[in-house]
Amino acid sequence: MIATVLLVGVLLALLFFFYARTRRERKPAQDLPAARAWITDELLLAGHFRYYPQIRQALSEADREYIAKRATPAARRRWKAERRKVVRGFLAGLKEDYVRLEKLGRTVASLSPQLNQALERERFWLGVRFRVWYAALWAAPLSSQWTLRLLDRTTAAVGSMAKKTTTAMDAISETGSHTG
Amino acid sequence: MQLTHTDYLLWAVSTGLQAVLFAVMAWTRFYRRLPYFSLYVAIVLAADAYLWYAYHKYGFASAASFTLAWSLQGITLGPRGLAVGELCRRALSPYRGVWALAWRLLTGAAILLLVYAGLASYSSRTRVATFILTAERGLELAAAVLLLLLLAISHYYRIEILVPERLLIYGLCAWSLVQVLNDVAWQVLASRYFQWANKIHVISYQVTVAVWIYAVLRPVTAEQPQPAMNAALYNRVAPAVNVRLQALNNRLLEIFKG
Repeated sequence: MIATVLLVGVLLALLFFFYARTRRERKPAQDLPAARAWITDELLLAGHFRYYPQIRQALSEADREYIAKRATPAARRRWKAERRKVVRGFLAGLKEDYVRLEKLGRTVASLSPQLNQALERERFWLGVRFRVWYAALWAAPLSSQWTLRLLDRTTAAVGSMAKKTTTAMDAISETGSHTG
Repeated sequence: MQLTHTDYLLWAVSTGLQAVLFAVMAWTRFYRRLPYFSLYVAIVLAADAYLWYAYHKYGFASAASFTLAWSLQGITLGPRGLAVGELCRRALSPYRGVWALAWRLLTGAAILLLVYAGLASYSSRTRVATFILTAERGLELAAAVLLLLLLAISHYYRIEILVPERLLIYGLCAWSLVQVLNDVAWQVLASRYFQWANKIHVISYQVTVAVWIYAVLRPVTAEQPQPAMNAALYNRVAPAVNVRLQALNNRLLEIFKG
């Protein structure tokens, strides 16, 4: 009985979530010029991951060793705090990139007369993986190689999403040229 | 066990609201838009009127009224299932690709949930009241989960459901979930909860019907939005989008190599 009550609570919360999101969310444009402008905007804005090399440099082992040898304990603490701030800022941007591309991919899929189920499944799981890594990185200490590996994976997920979207757009193009 | 004056009053308001909904649907020709949903409303209204008559003739606590009440409840389940299916089809079928994926998912989920409801009620078949409540709980849960799946799919693919349909979905889903809670409380507290169960059932239904009346009265400014990107538009937009996406990919590759 308690399980049913909890389940109903979760379902009611979900219903409220969908209600609130529908009221808030901007839907994709419905006419030709607006649709084109929207797609271009989404792609142009998805560019935070370009700063990855600088972030990787900031997290490198060499930098850490240098600071450990040369800086005072107070400076080391400041450096660590700054580094965490920078990485979190980058992560927030990366998530923004990802969500934009993901939304674009879903919208493109919704407009396609035929969905590629494998692509859809893959995009769904990519989204799950990205969010898991994102959460892990947000909470992780920034002093390990493990953090760097996670950052690599999370950034790669954004690139992977871009690739999936390209494939979906190609599929739609092909269908369009066959059906006129 | 007898109904109080308050129960009769609530019931009268409920039937009145249903009659208003039915009249509004007929007046706005809503039945053309959602025929199964309209059929469901008409059947519930007819069942309610017949139940009034039965209670008046046989008495509320009689075995005949008990059997009739639950039989009518069972009869309305079929049209309700059709109404849920119709709402799903109406919302998603203009998006051919998504609908091809979604109907399989929704049908699969419906089968699983119905099997669960069947098994749960079979395991509590020793007492009639428990059996009925368990069956009802399972079916209400199935309806709510299916409608939530519909909302989840439309949210995932950013598909806009028109306001009247959306309000019908919210109303139907919230009402089903309240009924599940009501059934659970009734099963736990038994006859002590009867009066409350009845009131909650009727009041939640009144709120739902009021939402539906509001939904049906909403002016329909546009038909279901069709996918904006037809094949010609895809062919114009896709190359530009592909070039940009490819550029993003190349930049990522450079980052990893460099």
